[in-house]
Amino acid sequence: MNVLSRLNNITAKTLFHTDSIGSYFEPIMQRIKPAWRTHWFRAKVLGHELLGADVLQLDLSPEKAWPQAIAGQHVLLTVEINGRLMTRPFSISSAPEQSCSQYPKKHVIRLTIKTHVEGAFTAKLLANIATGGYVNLSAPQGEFILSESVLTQPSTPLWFVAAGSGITPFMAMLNQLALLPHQPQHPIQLVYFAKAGEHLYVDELMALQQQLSQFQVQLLIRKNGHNLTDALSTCNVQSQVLICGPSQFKDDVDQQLDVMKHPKAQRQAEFFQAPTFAQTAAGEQHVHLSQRGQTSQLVLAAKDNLLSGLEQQGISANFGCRIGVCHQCQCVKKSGVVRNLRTGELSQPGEQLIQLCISQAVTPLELEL
Amino acid sequence: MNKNINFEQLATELDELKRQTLAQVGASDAAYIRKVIVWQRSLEWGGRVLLMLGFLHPVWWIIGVLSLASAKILDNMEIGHNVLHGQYDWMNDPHINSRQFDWDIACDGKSWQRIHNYEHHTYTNVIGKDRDFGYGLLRLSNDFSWRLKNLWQFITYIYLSVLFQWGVSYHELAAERVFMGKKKQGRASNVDANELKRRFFSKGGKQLVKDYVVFPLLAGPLFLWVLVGNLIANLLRNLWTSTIIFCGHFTSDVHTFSQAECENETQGQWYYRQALGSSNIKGGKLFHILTGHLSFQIEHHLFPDLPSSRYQQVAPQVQAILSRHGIAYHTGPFLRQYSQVVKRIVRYSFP
Repeated sequence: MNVLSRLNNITAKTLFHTDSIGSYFEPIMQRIKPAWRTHWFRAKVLGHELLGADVLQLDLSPEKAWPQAIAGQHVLLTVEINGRLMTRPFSISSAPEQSCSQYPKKHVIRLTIKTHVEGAFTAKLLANIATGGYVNLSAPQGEFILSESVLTQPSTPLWFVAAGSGITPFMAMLNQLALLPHQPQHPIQLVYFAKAGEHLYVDELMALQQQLSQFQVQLLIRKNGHNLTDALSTCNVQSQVLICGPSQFKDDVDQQLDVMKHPKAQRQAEFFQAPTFAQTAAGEQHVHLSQRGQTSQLVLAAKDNLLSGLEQQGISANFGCRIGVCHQCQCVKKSGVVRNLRTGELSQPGEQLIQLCISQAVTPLELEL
Repeated sequence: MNKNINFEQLATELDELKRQTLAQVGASDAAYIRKVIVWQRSLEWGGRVLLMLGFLHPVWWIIGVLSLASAKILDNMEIGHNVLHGQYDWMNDPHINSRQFDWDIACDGKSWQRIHNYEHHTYTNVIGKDRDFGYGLLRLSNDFSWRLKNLWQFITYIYLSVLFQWGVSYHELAAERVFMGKKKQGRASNVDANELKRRFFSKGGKQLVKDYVVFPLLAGPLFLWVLVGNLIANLLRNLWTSTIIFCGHFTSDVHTFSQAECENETQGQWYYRQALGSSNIKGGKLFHILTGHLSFQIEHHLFPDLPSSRYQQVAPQVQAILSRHGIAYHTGPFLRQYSQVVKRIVRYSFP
């Protein structure tokens, strides 16, 4: 901690009873700057577009302090939904320097969001944002990017393998490649599986194909008999393969590439998982714990409440009544689903506060004590 | 416990009322608590500035004291008490939640959560379990045998009110016999005595430094104006909070319960005890906000997690349910309730 933030912390603790001066003034700042928050960046909603029945595109203008993203990275999007702050990760589908014809003077990022009718977040998103309103963003994060070493090796063929909304980070990468001052020399292949009529950004991909002479698109539909074996047949062992889609799809691609003896070291993957409620065979659940800046991986018995589970692993957490009344064991669940043992209800998968003594792990969890 | 009451039915009805009300909680409740916080901040800084304008005309100083006292009252009652209860945790706000929030009072928020949220709210008015019933200082029913010191307990009460924030702060340390007395048998302490001491001095010290050193020094030549202003603001806050809180559980009709009565208590019986162990105060909207909605003590005790912004709304329904089951609903205007408290303290001064 540097001197300044220490000073801020001590002043805030003594004079304001908060962890930083900013958090004391936050509710007042929000009167002037809606959605101003000490922990997150602000972004203005410039507009939105429905790209199909269940795909929503958001055009956001982040505040100046927001660190520029690298193509392929994602952000945590936080929106106040009926008074509750809810956070979900989404890939950015635009390139960092990409300008937007609709908003010529603004720095715009584009998020492409698959909506689910029953989703606690995506189903309510549209009703809770307004053009001209504000949402919050985390700094861009993630390692699913084109590394310098790959970009400076023009002989390395690039293979982008996407399924469904897994196209989003590739849109950012392809636009970034198209913006390079010199035509990239890499052969670039996009293998893009989706349901019939649900391929996104087809026009944009066709235009990119015009701009990038080495770029080829395969728009594929499984139902029409397209398969990975054919799609990947020309992928050689030198290729850098990037995979994005549901976890099952990622496994299928891995399996096919293994058969082709493509080296694992030359693959990158980003995949999303519908919450699976399966435990490990022994009725255990994995917990990624961060406590005072240290992280650890634990395996807890899923039937226990989290507080007892942690204690059995020798982790001491704050606690009080152990029956969910005193809120002493409150901690931040970064991700994963827990069951509230008092009400039997399942939690949201995103970031929220939980009480350890009345929560049971339903999926793998990420906790911050 | 009263055998003629259908406790199961009572529990069903109150559970249903809670469920329905929680389902309505949303954007308006979040906006409400943020608005109260903005008011609190404005009154606090308005007050601190006005204290320094006392040299222009003393009336500014007086307004400053009142403004700062109101800010402290809002912070402790409507914001602190309710946020520390976890009533606004559903908002997922990184600052407005029971884990992060701390308040402008000598008491460490975490200590208060243990004693108040758990002990007091779980064992409300159970003699020997709920230390809030008389705070180990006052004899308020015949459940306690009379001792000589009870003779001057009205003076003890005045002292407690004047120093209320320190009483609240010392509450857990007294219960755990940290400094003196014999450790109570069977009292399972979660926090080590040294840690309790450290937090007591750390939080209390910060409060003293803030109100009696830092802000007076910032005022330069007006050091004394600000110091005395802060002292009076703290005093007014202490008197107000103590008075309101005493009205919540120590009016004449409030019942006490024995530990035996509460063994294997059902949810319905728990609701019954909470209702009879609390009393409300009638008043206007501003009055309710300044009491932190503890003027709806009955509703708060039935549903401690329900956001305070909903107590006014559920009160008529709670009253209707209780009256259908023949359970008394203790309420009355402030002066009537408070005079009952005074009478009770005086009455039990004597054997």
